[in-house]
Amino acid sequence: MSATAAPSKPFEPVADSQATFRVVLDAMARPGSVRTLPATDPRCPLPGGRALAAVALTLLDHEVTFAIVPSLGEGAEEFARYLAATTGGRLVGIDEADYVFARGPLAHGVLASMKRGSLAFPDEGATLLLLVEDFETGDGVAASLTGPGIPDDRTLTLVGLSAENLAERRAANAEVPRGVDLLLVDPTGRMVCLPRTTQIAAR
Amino acid sequence: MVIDQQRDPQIPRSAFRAPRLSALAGAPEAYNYAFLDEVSKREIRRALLKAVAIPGYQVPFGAREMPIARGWGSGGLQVTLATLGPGDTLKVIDQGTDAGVNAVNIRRLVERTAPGVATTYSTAEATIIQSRHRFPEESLRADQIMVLQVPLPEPLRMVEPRESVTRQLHAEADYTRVWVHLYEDVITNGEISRASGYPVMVNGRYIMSPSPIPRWDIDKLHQSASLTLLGAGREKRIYAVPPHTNVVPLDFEDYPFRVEDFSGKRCARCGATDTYLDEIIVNGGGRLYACSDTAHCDERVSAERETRNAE
Repeated sequence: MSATAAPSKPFEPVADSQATFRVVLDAMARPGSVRTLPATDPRCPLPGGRALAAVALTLLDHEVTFAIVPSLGEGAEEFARYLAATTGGRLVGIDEADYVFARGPLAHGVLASMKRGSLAFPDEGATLLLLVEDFETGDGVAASLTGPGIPDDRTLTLVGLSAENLAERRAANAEVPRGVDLLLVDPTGRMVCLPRTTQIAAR
Repeated sequence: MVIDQQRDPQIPRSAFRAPRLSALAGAPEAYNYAFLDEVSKREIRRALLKAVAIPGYQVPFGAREMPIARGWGSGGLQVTLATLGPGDTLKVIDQGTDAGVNAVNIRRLVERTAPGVATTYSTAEATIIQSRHRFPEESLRADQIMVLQVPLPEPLRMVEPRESVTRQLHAEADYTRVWVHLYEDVITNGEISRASGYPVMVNGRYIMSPSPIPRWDIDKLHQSASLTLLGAGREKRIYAVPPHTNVVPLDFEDYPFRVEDFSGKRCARCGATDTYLDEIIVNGGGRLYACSDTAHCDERVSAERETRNAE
């Protein structure tokens, strides 16, 4: 399943949402493990973003808000319009959004400005959906992960997050249980989840 | 005046014929895949992901009306329906057995509304196991998801009736009143007497109700290979325990947590001495013990029969 392979089959709202959710759920329950998303949306105008779009279509609707970080680059504006039109989600600022779409690595201050929820309602913390370079070929930080969902520790090369991003993430998640949950998706549909409980140490 | 309604010619016979429930419900094809509409599924899925990201924290969600009454597994059912898809194999347990009325009804609903989902009694064959008040005896694998039905998700309710206060207590991890409650229990009863729904500490942060499973099953949540999802429909809460997560029952150094004691007892059917046993009162007032996990018991019985036949 490659983003450049054409023609892709259209995203099927019922079956593809369920299949995509199961993969995301498994990835969220096992932070740092690389999973492959089973669906894409060929309508997605964001270059390399068809698999990311499948996750967006699975989770977003009129009940939630989303934001687009300008660094998403070429096609960002079309992507915002496409998400609003296909999901019904409401486009808001980064500091208000339930779901934030960005390209990794992030510019300084983006993670710090995202919603982290309150102590009483930490689930109101935002989910960051990060489009990253190919997990296999991209440059990354060698990292060791610990936390719930990880037996002992798990090592992986984290693509799409700079050392500064990791420090900002640590700061955003410092006041447990408030925090931000990350989904990293590459153009080929491979995905890694980093919920707020995952401790990341550079190796 | 007395009217014999059954015989009165002016009252049509059809007035006494109760409509079949299936006719009222309409054809299964009239429903969306897995009964729930997509907006509901999406909300439940969003809540599930946050629940997994914050182990033991109760995520509020808008529990939908289900074709079973609230308090009868509607929360677990909504979690199951939002999760399963073609290729899944579902096992449903009602207090240890697959043949309980609650389990049968939930399984039938899935069979009718989710084509492509197989159902089974076998724990090993299942990819999703929805259960009321029991874990299977066999350890679960990484590719299996456990869904527990939860009647009362709030472990602090026993010490505080107000939701606004229990939420704040969770926010501040202020669990002193639970500890005092357990201490009082020890003083009054000589031990922590809680039989089911024993409070546990998840990932060192949240006290959680594991649903009304017996103490016997608590250890199955600790550092499990499988993901556990918990749904409370009436109370509108979803929470989760990811795999490889610490789940520790609350206890005191001098009053350690202990499980039910079945020493000297064995299953009357399969002879097991290492399973959770149900006590059955028989005629004459005697007591009989049998495996609570009937599928596990059946497998042992048929394995034994095969061995005997082979001899």
